[in-house]
Amino acid sequence: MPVSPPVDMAQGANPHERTDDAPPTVPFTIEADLDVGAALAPWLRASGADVSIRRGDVPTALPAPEAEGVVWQHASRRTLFLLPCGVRFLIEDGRTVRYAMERGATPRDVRPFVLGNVWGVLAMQRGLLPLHASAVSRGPGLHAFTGPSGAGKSTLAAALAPRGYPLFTDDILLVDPASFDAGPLCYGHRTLSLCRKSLALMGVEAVAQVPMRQRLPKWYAVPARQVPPRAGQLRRLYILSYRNNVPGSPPCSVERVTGRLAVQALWAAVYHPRQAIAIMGRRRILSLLVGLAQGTRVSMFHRRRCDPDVTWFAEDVTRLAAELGAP
Amino acid sequence: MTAGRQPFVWLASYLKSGNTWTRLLLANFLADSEQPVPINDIDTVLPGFGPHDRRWFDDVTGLSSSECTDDEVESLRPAALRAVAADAAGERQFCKVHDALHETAAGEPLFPADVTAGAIYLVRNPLDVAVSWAFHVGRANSPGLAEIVARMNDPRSTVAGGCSRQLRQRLLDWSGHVESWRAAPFSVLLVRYEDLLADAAGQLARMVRFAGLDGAADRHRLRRAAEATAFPRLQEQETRHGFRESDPRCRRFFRAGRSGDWRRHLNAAQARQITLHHGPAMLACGYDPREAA
Repeated sequence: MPVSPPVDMAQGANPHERTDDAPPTVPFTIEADLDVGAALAPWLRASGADVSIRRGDVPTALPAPEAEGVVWQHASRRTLFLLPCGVRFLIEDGRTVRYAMERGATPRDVRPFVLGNVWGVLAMQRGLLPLHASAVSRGPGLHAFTGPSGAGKSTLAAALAPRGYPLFTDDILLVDPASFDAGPLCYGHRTLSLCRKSLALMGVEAVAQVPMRQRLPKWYAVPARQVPPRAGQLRRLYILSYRNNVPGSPPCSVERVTGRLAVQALWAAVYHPRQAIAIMGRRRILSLLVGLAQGTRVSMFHRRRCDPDVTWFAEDVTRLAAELGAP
Repeated sequence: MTAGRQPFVWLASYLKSGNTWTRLLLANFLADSEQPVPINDIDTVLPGFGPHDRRWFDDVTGLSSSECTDDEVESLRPAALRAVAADAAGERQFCKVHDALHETAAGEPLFPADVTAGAIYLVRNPLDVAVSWAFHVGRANSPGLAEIVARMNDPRSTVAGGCSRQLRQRLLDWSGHVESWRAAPFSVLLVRYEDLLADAAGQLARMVRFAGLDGAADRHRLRRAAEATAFPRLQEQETRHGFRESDPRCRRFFRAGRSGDWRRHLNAAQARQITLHHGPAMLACGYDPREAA
């Protein structure tokens, strides 16, 4: 099945270009029988890829699961997802992803989970640590924002893009533990998914706005004109919090956290931590987070709740841009 | 305080009916301290969570709710509650809910009886609810009140969902909400907001007994919890420290804490629309719809 044209290639950039001392542009490659979107173009190969994503038989349960949650089971390097939309995934050994569709599910229902849950489990099975974060780039460095769904990660990252900080990744940031000695190296994919209000709020010019799924009020959007690096060193990580609601307090403020507090904050940023514990082990994750905290500046970004108030949001973006420094 | 396989006590109410106030009462009772519980620390004292919270759902299910439709999320909520119940280690959990007690599309109760110890259902005169809701969202003017009244009369009414930080909650109309909880297949303690205003310590004692907590006869402890949550004291805390759970459009979460405010804010037509729609349910809860005639 053909994939959408890679945005960056359409604009003349070559996403696979690298020099000998440059980091690999992607930590693994994929081949897929469904359209996974333009943002994954650098990861895609026609054949011989590290990971194969194909439709096939997927069991409804794993025998003797070692760990399980409401929609997933895990047993010896196999993770099964049973999603309420009728899609099932089996991810094995970080190498194969099989999906099955029932109850009227379509490939359009498959794609968001390939870019989300499946992407996270693939990374874990391959030894990468996925953080629930969006990130922008500034030169070779990355600045990431983490927080629960609805905290505003994507909207903030998207709103920074037109200010000269290219969007690096949305929702998932993959950290490569092998790189910790030289600074944590990260990978991402630029598949923004935003609700209508955020699309309007961020004011970013998008080259495409595609509905994510039927009956889901979110759209894929790809910021135009910018070509961020494919890999970068994580310099700063901001944890989004809604705390500045005291009357008279500033709309937003930044508070650096270090040591144990930073590790605790990073623990909350791990992408689906129960699955991460099942696949990677609690001790391994903790040691990775300690290393990450040592190599990254971790801060709380306290904000007021701003859903209905554009003014507060604009102040957040201005404050963050000042914090990041000139692009 | 053990709860076995049925750890959940639902603190259920329609919007703006005293739910947060009740959580603070229970938190102060459990804290049993001379110092009032800070209003931003309720959750550190009162065990429980909000089943409408997106973060809670994502964590428990291992699924990103933002990639699911509201109906798909709703279909998983009973299973998510059962998963939490299995991990609750027997501790009683007090969970704030605004959902009506309805079924999912698959016909499963949103709040399964097999993990439920009971529900404390907080009810308030719907005429006052309309006013309080309008202030809460910064729309206490005539068009704003008209919109709120229409939502309270709409059986398809929902809050949150979509891209917001909370999951979708089906309210039904005000009567539907009340009746759904009154018909629950588990024990329900009805507590009226107006009775809380008149005798918070007495109502707290009822709730403590219902929840199976120790100390229901400790009048000093009950009175101290009631005093710590008197509205002037809550307002003072909010002025000094803000309130994390407040809506950004709301100037003051702990606004008035009184009954009968509707007489100052609703016009006759708005009041009549409410009583015409909800007369029987009002009567069942001890409110006289003829007051607004």
